[in-house]
Amino acid sequence: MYRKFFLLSKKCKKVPDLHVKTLALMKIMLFFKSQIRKLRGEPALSDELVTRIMHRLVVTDDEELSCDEVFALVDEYAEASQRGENVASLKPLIRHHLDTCRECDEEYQALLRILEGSNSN
Amino acid sequence: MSALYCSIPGPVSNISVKAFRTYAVREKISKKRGRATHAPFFRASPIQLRNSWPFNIIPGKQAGSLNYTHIHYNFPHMTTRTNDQWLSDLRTDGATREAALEDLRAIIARGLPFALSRWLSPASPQFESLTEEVTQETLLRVLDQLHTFEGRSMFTTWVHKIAIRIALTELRRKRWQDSSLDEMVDNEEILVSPRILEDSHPTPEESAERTDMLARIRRVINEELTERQRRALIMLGMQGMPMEEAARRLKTNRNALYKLLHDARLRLRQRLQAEGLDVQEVFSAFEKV
Repeated sequence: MYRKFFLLSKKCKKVPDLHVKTLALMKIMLFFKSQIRKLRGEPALSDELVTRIMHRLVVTDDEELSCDEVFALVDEYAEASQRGENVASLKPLIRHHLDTCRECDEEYQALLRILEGSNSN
Repeated sequence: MSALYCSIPGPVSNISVKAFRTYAVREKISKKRGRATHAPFFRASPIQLRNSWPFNIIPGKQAGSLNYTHIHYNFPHMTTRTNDQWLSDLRTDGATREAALEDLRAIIARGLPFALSRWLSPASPQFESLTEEVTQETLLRVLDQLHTFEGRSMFTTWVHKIAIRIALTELRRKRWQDSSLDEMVDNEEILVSPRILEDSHPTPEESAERTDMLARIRRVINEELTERQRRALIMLGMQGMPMEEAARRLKTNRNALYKLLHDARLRLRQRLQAEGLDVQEVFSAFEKV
């Protein structure tokens, strides 16, 4: 590890271009970071994980509601959905969050089940 | 059928004897602890009640073998209140408040089997203790956050929402701790279609292009994100960890973690766009391979 650092820093001295030097330093930094991750026992970025991240990026909007904001509105949303209103188009931000946040969607589905249960009785 | 049953208001219910027994045990515990029980007919044995109103066993099925998701819990209704009445009753002191709390306790306990039906059967041994714990915690939180209720929904829906948040958080935590995640993984929403992950024998050129693209994205992730953002993405992306657990490990809360992830994703997207990579096109390229 230190040998690599030594060689790279030697390279930096030889190269006059500042841009190249910066890139080399960045490489050194990333190398050290990756070593620390290895020591910590953190998993590497597998192909599968990168693909998952990319998929999530596709459905990421610039403006999204947070979990707390959705929690504050979800009871009203569930009741409107229960009444048969087209909530997905009326409140697209909530719908989008529920589509992308597993935890919030589970809680919403649970609330719907309670409302359906109490209505069926 | 005795006149007593007829005198109790409320529609006819379908309930398994097993579920009734669970409820009866809970009633017994409540009684021991000096809490009010819900109805006088619980004094009768399940056999007496088996074919009498309001317990109607679903025909064609054996009691106890019913799918718990189809059980309809409907115990005689307590005093119905409007939102304002709930608020005023819970804000006053004395017997009115106690009665309102008891009603609320029953409402929460009645809703939880529906809420948890995807994860836990009312007949399971965990259910009893979880319900008790969640109900208690919900009542405390409701009283604490009463001023935040804005009346945009029914008061009981608002209470159910709080109970669900507590129950599912607790359930996820316990499951994660016990490492018995099989069920959760089964239920987990698959974000990536299996077609993408399986090896579909790509041509050498396609394979090389894909490897190159993955390496570029990996480099962008390593360079652009902070250590915290990277950790959060990995924890939630790969290990199927509940958000609450990931938040605990990062010493934050679920809401802040969601914002952290959103910021990370936006940063990644901007950087990829700056490098001339369109996220949609990259993902489509993966799908083709």
